[in-house]
Amino acid sequence: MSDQMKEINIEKIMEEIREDIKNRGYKDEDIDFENITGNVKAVLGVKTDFSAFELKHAVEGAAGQHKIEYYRMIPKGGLKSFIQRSIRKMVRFMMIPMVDQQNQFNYQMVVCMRQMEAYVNECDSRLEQKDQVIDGLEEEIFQLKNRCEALESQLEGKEAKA
Amino acid sequence: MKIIQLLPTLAFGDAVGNDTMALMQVIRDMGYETGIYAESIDDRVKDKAVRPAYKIPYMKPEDILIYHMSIGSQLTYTIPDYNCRKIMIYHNVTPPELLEDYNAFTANACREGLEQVRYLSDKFDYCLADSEYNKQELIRMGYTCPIDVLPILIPFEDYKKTPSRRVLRRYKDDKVNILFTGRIAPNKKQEDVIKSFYYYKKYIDPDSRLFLVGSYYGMENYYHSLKAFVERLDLKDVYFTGQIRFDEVLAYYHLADVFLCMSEHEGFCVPLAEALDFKIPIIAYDSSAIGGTLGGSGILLKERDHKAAAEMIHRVVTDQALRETVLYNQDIRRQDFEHDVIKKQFEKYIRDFSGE
Repeated sequence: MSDQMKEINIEKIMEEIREDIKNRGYKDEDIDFENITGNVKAVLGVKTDFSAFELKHAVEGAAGQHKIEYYRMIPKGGLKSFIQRSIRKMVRFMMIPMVDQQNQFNYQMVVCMRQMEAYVNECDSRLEQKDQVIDGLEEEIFQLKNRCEALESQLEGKEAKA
Repeated sequence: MKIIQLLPTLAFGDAVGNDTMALMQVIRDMGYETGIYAESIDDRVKDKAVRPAYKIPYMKPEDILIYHMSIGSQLTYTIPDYNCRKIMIYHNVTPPELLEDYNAFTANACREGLEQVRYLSDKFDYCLADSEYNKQELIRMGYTCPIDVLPILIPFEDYKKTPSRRVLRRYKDDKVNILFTGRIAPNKKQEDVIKSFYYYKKYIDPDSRLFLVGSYYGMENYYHSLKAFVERLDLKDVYFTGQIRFDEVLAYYHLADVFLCMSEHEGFCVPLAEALDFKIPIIAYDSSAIGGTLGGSGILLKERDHKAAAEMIHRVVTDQALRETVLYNQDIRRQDFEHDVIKKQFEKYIRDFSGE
């Protein structure tokens, strides 16, 4: 397909662009993003926008991953694999109760988030219903205003005649 | 004979999820018994043939298992246990070092994923890669089985649906709209898109907007860093939409004057194909699979130069002849990704592999 395409001389355009950059008067500015990267202080206080989709995703993600397994599959073969599997067996007695406790906590958190999500959805649907009522009332006010204006002009006409 | 697909996560609306669902339809049309099996399945996927991974049926030696590889998963270690013919579709794994600063969990999953891609190097009979870039990566990782390139199957028909009127109403004016779609993720370098927009808005056209359309789920730290960055630059008219409805995504594509992509790592980059379909001129930094996906169309930037990117946006917006040529080339490239073209390619690969 490429041979049917029209040629664009990018090199020539880039040369012109370099010239444009010189003439544009760009200032050397510090617009370094790396200063912010992973810098908790830099991002604290940044306003987060509410997104129902993101909330739903987060709740579903947490629900799907809340149960963690202590058991990790290790491919068979070799000394390294044997040692890793032996260690897995040895720490089993300690890992299982810890993981169970963590799972219990995760479960409660997911229930909590689901409750909050349901509350947000409930509020949303109530708001939507109220919006519809407001839309209807606004339409009614608009019609009544029009009627008032029409009656006023009729009255003015009659008064003028009288 | 049955052909089933296996993957760790079947998400709704992402590139891998869409590809898997579209391929299932093609396999069905070819007359094979099929199904998708995944460890985690998005609630919004409504298809009886989509089941949890533990329900995978007994596979006979002549059956075919297609495994979608894009992230680390314990499922990978079950692959050698299947006594059937195996195909891997490689969507690429994001280099963990790009994600480490923002999400250690996902970075570790990617690190594990890359180890697993190496582990699987002798476990498949055949591989399909989304792009030539992905194919070369597999070869570098020691794959010796036959590998073919099969671009992601994109349901372009869906893009003909009606866009959100509310979004169109809000932004339909004379301002120049610059768009990038895709998850908010450090490998997609949204900060570079913002930097380029900063120069464009400040020095070239103050009447402009930037839309960054995509979910930031799992990358909240990066999202907040970007928001802090925008605040520090005192840059107005940058819109982070988060995840939005499909008709709203369509509306942003309809509004866009330029699609700007500064990604550092992409295995294919579906949004580029979408921009081709919406006839939006593309300016993209030439990294990973991006050059391959554009296939000579669009405008490729060889350097990560934000001022040059800003000037290039200006060129594409104001130079009508250049814009027309870019769109002409893009339209030719778009035809390579048409549903029927990719479908036929996939059918041929499967027929050749299965010998039927």
